[in-house]
Amino acid sequence: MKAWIRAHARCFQLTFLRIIHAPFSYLFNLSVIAVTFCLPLAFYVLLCNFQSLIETRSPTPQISLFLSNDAQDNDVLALEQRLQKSEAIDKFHFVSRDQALSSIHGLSGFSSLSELVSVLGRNPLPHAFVVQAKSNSPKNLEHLKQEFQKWPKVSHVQVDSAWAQRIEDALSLGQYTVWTFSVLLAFMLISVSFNTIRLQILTHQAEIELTYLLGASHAYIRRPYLYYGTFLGLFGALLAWLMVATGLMAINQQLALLATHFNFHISLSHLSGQDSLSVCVFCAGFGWLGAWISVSRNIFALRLL
Amino acid sequence: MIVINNVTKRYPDGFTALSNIHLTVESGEKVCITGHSGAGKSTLLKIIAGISPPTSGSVVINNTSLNPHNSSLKALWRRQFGLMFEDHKLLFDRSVFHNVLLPLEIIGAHSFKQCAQKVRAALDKVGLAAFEKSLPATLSGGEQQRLCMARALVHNPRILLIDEPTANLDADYALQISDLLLGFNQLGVTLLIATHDQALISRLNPRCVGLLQGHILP
Repeated sequence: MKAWIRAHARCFQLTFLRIIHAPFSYLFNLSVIAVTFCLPLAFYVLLCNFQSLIETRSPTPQISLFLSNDAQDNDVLALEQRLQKSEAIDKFHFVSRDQALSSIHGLSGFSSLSELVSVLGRNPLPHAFVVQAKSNSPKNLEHLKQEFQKWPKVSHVQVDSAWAQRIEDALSLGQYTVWTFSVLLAFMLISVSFNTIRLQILTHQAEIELTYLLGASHAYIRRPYLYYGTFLGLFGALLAWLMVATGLMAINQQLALLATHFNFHISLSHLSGQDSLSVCVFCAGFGWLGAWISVSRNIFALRLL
Repeated sequence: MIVINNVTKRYPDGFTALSNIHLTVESGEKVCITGHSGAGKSTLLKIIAGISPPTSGSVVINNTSLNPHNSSLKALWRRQFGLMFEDHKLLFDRSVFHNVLLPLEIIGAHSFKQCAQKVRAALDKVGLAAFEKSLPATLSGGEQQRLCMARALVHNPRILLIDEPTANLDADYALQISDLLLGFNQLGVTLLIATHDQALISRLNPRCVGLLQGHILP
């Protein structure tokens, strides 16, 4: 175990020495990864901010339960009790047919309610419950709608979630775009890592050959290059993270100025700790993979192993 | 004891470098493999060291034979030798100290402090203790050869496989090298040397095995 730790510690040291020996080429490789990765990362950050903005500022979608015209007071009471027991519902209120007619009267242009009723012949409006669900996801609202439609004396259920669905679709499209970019980025990261390691192997060909002759195992020869590739991905991700953070700081200053004109506060936040960690692990992993493919292919090409 | 059983080496282009070689080397013995360029001396050393696999036949050291298909076992096999190459194979971007440290790093059995002690002892044996921080490029040909010897000896191998130790060296340096080799042999190290340097052979007074076009001369 001690020997294993020593070997890895020595590899760490060797890898850093190699980076220090050629800092500019390493920095250029890092900046290629960072700049390329910056774009999908920034897009993802904006998407997350947009999502949270919608969640905090948008009106809560409501479900309207219209009762059948023959619904009596005891039916209304039974439905009210059922709504109170439902755990999926945040709050609700009852709108009687008279209240509904009054609110229409305000919009109709008739001088009195009796005039409106005389024109209509009778009050045609049903009793209704207006319900707010605990979860406002379109999927949940649709599920509740179907549930309510099965209830007795409920003739029609209306959900005003079309806008929520549209926004969710737009966010899905954004997330899909981020994932597409991420897949492309993974390929790019593997390619950069592969090519960098290929050049490293060509530079250290004599050293590889000698260590092989002196009894080095495949793992011993591979290890420093795998570290190199992993660090390339990891530091590339950290640099991209910093670039996005700097960009957000600059944008937030301008956004704060703009927001004062409209008397509200808004600021863009960076990735959460978990997301940041995921990004680093993702990039380090693909850097490692590129290095592994390169080492396997190019060291075997030296016809040593 | 090294036992080479019926070893043949044929390259993919059809050239036969070694043909049905039988050879036994006792522990602590000094053996010079002689012959002209292309006779198969270096090929034989490479086969013994597990660097190049034989086309047929086997190499047995202390009742253990080399499995040419298992890379991990091959790596372990090579660690039991001290290897000196004709072209030195020094790392010119590393100091003398780090060149000698390399075999110990590969074996990985010692702490850095222990390794450093062993490296300094090896450099002291070959008279390069004062040069540990120098780069190999600043050393003379003889010093570079001695550096190779320090690297070959640092992990205390029982067998030294040496390819043309005095090639490209003038008489004085060659004498230093042969004296060092004699000294190690007196400590019990088995020497297997591929050379056509008659001066070295006469100074070492070894058992000579002649090779001609891949065959051992009677």
